[in-house]
Amino acid sequence: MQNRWIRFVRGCLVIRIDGDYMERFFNMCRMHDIDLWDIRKEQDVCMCEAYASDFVKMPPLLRKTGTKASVVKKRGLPFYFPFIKKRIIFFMGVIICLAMLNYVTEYVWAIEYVGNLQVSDDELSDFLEQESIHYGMKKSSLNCEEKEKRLRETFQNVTWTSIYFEGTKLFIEIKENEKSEPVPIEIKGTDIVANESGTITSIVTRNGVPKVKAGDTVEKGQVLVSGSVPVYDESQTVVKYQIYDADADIYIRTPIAYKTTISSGYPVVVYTGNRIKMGFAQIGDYHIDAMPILDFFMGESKNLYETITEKHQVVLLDNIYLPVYYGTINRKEYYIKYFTYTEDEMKSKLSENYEKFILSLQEKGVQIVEKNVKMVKNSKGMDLYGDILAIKQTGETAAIQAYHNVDEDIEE
Amino acid sequence: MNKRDMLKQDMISAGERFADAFSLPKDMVVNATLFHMVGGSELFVENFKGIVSYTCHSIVIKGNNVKYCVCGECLTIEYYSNEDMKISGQIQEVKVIREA
Repeated sequence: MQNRWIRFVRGCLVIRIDGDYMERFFNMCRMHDIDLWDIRKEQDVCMCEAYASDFVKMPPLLRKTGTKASVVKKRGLPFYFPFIKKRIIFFMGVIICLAMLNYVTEYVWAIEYVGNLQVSDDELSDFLEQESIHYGMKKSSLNCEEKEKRLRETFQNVTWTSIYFEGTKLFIEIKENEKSEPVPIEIKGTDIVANESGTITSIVTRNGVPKVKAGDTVEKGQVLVSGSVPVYDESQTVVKYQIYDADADIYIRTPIAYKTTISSGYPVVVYTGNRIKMGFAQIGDYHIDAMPILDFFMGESKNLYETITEKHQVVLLDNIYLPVYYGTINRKEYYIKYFTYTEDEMKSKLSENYEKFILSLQEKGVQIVEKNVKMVKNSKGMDLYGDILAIKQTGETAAIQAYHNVDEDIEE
Repeated sequence: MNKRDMLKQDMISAGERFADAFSLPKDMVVNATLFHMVGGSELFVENFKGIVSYTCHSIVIKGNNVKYCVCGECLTIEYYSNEDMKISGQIQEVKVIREA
């Protein structure tokens, strides 16, 4: 039995046979290896189908049997060639489009991270950059298994990785260890030193030896709590020093100087109302839009523009990301106009800034004991000087200063 | 039946016996027409000589010494090639017409 696809490719004809000896004609066709199918009787005539190439062999048989054959319909690919020939550019376009689609789908055009909570997208992007994985790389050049292994080695808390493609999109899927093991605390040996000069108001030591007491005046950088704890023997002689990380809550009364300046002139962005909205297309690194043409015809403008670009990537069948982008460019024209503050406005602005500063200090737990404010007007604008006396937490960790001395003492 | 036909008949029966004895396919040995029917609507015919007559209600097929008549309604020949043919339609009966 003939396959209907073979019939389509070879091309077939629907033939009407008319005559007294149609059966003889069929038998002679059979003898001459001419295949016939779909033979059916319609009143006095017979309809059948045959290959177009076999039709040329029929005339001698028709003459011998006294039958007549006429073509009713043509089917198959050979009969489409004239149709295709007339529209060759269209079909060439379709073929080129398919070829290009096939070409671009061999590359990576989108990357997505899945399952990362502790490891940020930026960290993963840096990792991919180190591993030379980037947009536009060939999919076949990426060894997924090797990169999965490298990913697990780079990030210790990543327990499972999977790098795979869906269309032209590269998925980096990871699973992180949710039960993180406690990190052993390494004792380095640190002192607590004063951040600023002032008077200590209270000190509560948890670890180390306090070097100051409440009411003492200290300088910036002075050791407040030492991390080297002396160990005495029975005769109250220092035998050795034990090293700790000093830990304490220390509050200090210290002055804070605040200065802020405001200029009498200030800029304001004024939109002219001229807007230009146009589409653009981008294929790879080639950007196409009509903005340069517009600038050419309208002339170079001295005004400034605020530009908002909305960009979308072309996606086929949800997964095939192409290096083709489209979107809109929204350009708003504006200019900067300078206004002048009045004296009251400047005072109001400075006071507002000062209040914000005080509020930010209070939010950090700083107690304000005393404050003095002075506003001075000058040629450019106005300055605000604030002297604040505050009680705040102090102390920052620093490497033990007496450590080497201790070693030397012990060696001696 | 003349002597020649009787001789032919004897040869056929001898061929059948030979095929039976050596377990050979009879259609090959005695050149018999092979009918293969699927349900009541499809009939495959092999090893035949040609079509004698064709109408919507009957198709007469020439075999080796005998003719076969396929009777039914809306009979069509789905394909007709050098090796075999397929008849489809509402087949009612297949008759063997022995030549006198």
